[in-house]
Amino acid sequence: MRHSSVNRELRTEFAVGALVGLLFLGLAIFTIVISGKSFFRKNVFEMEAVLPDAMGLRRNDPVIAKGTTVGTVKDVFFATDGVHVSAILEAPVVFHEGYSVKVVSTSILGGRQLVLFEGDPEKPIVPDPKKLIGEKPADFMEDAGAAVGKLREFLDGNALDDFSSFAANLKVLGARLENGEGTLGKLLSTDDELYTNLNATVSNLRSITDRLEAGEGTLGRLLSSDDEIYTNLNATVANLRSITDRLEAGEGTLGKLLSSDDEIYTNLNATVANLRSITDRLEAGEGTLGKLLSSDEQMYDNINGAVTDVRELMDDMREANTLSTFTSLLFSGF
Amino acid sequence: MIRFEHVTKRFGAKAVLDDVSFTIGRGEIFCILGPSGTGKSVTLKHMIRLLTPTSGRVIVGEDIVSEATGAALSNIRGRFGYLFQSAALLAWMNVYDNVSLPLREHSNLSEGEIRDRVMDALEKVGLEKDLYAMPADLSGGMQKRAGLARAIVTQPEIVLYDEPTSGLDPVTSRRIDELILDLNQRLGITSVVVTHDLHSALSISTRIAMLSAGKVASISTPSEFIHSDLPVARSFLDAQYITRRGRWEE
Amino acid sequence: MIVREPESRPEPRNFLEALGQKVFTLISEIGRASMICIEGTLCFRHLFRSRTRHEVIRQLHICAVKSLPVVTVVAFFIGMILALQIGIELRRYNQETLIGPAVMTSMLREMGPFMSGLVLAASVGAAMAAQIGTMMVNEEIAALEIMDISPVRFLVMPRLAAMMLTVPLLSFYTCMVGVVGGGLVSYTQLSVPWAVYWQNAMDFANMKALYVGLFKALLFGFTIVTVSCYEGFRTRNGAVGVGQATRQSVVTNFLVILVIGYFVTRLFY
Repeated sequence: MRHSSVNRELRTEFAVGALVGLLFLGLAIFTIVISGKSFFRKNVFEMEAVLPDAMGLRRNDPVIAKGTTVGTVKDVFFATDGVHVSAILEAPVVFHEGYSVKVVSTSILGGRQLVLFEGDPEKPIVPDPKKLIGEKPADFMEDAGAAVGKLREFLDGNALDDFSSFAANLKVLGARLENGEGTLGKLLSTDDELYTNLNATVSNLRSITDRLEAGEGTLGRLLSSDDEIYTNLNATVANLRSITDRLEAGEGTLGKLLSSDDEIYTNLNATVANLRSITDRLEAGEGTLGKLLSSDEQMYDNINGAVTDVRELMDDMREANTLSTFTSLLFSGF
Repeated sequence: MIRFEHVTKRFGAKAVLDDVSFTIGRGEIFCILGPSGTGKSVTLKHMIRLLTPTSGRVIVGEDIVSEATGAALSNIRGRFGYLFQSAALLAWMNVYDNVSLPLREHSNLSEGEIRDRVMDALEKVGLEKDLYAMPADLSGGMQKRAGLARAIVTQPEIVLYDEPTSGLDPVTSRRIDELILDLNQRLGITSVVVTHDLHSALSISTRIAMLSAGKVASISTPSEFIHSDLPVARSFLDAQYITRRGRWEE
Repeated sequence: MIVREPESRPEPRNFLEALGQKVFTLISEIGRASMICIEGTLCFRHLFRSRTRHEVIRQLHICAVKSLPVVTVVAFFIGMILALQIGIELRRYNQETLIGPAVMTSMLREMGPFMSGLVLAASVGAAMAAQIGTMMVNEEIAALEIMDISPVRFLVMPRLAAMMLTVPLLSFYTCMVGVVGGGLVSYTQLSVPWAVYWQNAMDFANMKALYVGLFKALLFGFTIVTVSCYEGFRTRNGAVGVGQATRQSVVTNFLVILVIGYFVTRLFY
C-alpha cells in the first residue's frame, strides 16, 4: 500500500516535471525565435546607417538586399543628426560608392523593411559600413497622396470643362453616326451595297495578295526572296549616290547645270526661247523638219524605211565600234 | 483549567449561548449534554476560539482565549486536541499522514520519532494496520478513531470531543469511551465531551453540564444527574430509558 | 478571513440603506479576498519546505497535467475558428496569407491568456471552491486551525504557486496549439501553404505581445485562486452551500478575468 502511494507520487512528480519542463523549453525557444536571436548563427556582420526618417522602422524588421532577406534591424534610435539604424547582416554585403540605404513599406497594409543597394561594383568600396548615409524613405501612402494631389490639381483646372465639351461633341457625333450621316455614318448604316462592294474589293485584294505571295508579276517578284533584284538595286542606288555626290560637287555638265552659275541659265533661257520659235514653226509645218512632222504618210513611210536601214547599219557598226562613234554618226546626220 | 465567564453568543438576533458560566477543573472529564441546537458544539468551539463570544470571556489556564491573537492564540491551541464529529480528516492524505500532520507542522522531531509517536497513537485507537488507508476507504468509526489519534498525537493537556460516539456501533462506542478514560487516567488529560449519548456520558464523566436553550440548566455528577428533577434532564433520562429498555443502575 | 458566522446587519429601512449595505458588503468581500491573496503571497517564504513542495507538485498535477486535454481541445478549436472567420474576410481582399499574423497576434495578446484563464477558472477554480467548501462544511478547515496550521498557507499558497506557474505556461501552450489549429484550417479550407502561414505568423509574433499575454495570465492565476478559495472559505449550509460556492466562484472568476483582461490591455496598448 505504501509502495503504491510512493509510486503514485513519483508518477505525479514526473508528469508535472515533464510538462512544466517542456512548456518552459517551448517558451524559451519561442522567445528566442521571435526576438530574432540565434545561438547557432555564424559570420554575423554589422552595419549602421543614419536616415533622415525611419518611417516607423522597428527592431527585427527585415533587411533586404538584391531582393532577399540578408538580416534584421538590431536597433533604431533617435539622434540629432538623424535616426541611427543598426542591423545585423547574415550575408557579407559590401557597399560601394553610389550605394543606397532606405526604408520602404513591405505592403500597403503596413510593415517596414530596410532595403540596401550595394552600389556599382566597379566603384571604390565604402571603408566603414557603420557610417552609411541613408535616403529619405519611400512611402506608398506618401506617393499615393502625391498622385491624388496631382489628380486633384488637374481636375481643379479646365479639365472638367474640356471633358464636358468633349462629351457633348461625342454625343452630337454619335447622333450623326446614328442617322447615317457622313462616310463613317454610311459605313455604319444598314446599306448593303457598300458592303457588297467592299467584299468584292477585299476579295480582289486577296487574289492580288495571293498572286504576290506566289511571286507572280513584277511586284510579286520584287516581294519574292530572289536577292538578285535587291543586289542590282543596291548597286544602282550606290551609283546614284555617287552621281548625286558628283552633281552636288558641281562636277560634269549636269552638275554645272545645277550650280548657281547664272550664265548657263541665261543661255538656256535664250535657247528655250529659240526652241519655242522653232517648235512653233515646226507645228506650222514650215521648213523641212516641219514637213517631216506633218501628217504626210508617204514621207513617213520613206523615213521609216530609211530609219530601218540606218538601224540595221547601226547594229552592225555597234558590234564593231564604241558608243562615242555611234553618237557622233547619229548627230552628224542633223 | 477552563473558565466561561458570562459568555453570550449571538448569531444575528438569535442568542445561541446566553450568559453561560462554568469552570472545568484540571484532569476532569466534563460532559456537556443537551438537545440539538442548544449550543453544545458552540460552547466547545469557544474554548479554542473557533468562535468568539459576543460578550463574556473564555479563559484557559491564565490565558484569555476569547481575546488572544497571533502567537498567544497559537500557544493556547497547541495545548488542545480536538476530535470533530465528522473526524475532519484531510481527504487527500492517508491515515498516517493525517495523524502525523500536527507533528510535522509544529515539532522538530525526526522522521523516526514522528513515526513512533504516530504508531503509538494509532495503536491506542486500534488502527495500526490501516495507517496507509485513505479516509474515503475507512468506515465512519474508523475515521473517528483516526481523528482521535490525530487529536492525541501531540500529547495535549486538553482534548475536546464533539460527539465522539455518534453513529458508531455499541462496541466501538465502548472502545472510544474506554480510550477517553484511559487517556484521562494515564496521562491526566482534561477532557470536554459534547454528546447526546447519556450512557456514555454517565460512564466516563466526572461532571455533566446540561444545556437548555442556550443556558446552563445544571452542572452535576453522574449520580446527581440521574436523580435530577430538572424537566430537561428528566426527559433525557426517560428517552434513554425507553430506548435501552431498562433502568440505569449506579 | 474565514467566515463561520452569518453576517448580521439591521434590516434596511429604505433603498439607500439597502444599497449602502450592498456596497459595504461588496467592499468587505473584496477586502477579505485581497487579504487571502496577500497572505498567500507572503506565505511563499514557506514554499521550499519539503511538505509544501510536495503539495505544490500535487497542485501542479491537478492544474496543469489534468487540465491539459481540455485546454488542448479548446485552444485547437479557438485557433481554427479564428482562422476560419478571419480567413473568410481576408479572402475577399486576396489577403489569406495574413491569417497567420492575425491568429498569432490575437492568440498571444488575448485569446491565449483568456481561454486558458477561463478554462482553468471553470475546471480548476470550480474544483478548488468545491474542495475548500467541502472542507469548510466537514470542519477540516477548523481542524487545520486547531492544529495551528494556517489554512491560507496550507491550502491557498500551494494553489497560488501552482496556478502562477500553470496559467502563463498553459496560456503559451494555448497560443501555440491555437496557431497550429489555425494553420490546419488555413491549409485545408483556405489553401494557404503551411510554410507561408507559419512564416507570416512568426514574423508578426513579438515580445511585447508575448510578455503582456504572460503577465495577464499570471494575474488570472492570482485571480482564479483568490476568488475560488475565498468562495470556498465562505461556504456554509452543507452540500447546498458547496454548490452555491462553486457556481459563484465560476461566475466571479469569469467577470474578474474579463475586467482585469481589459484593463491590462488598456494599460499596455
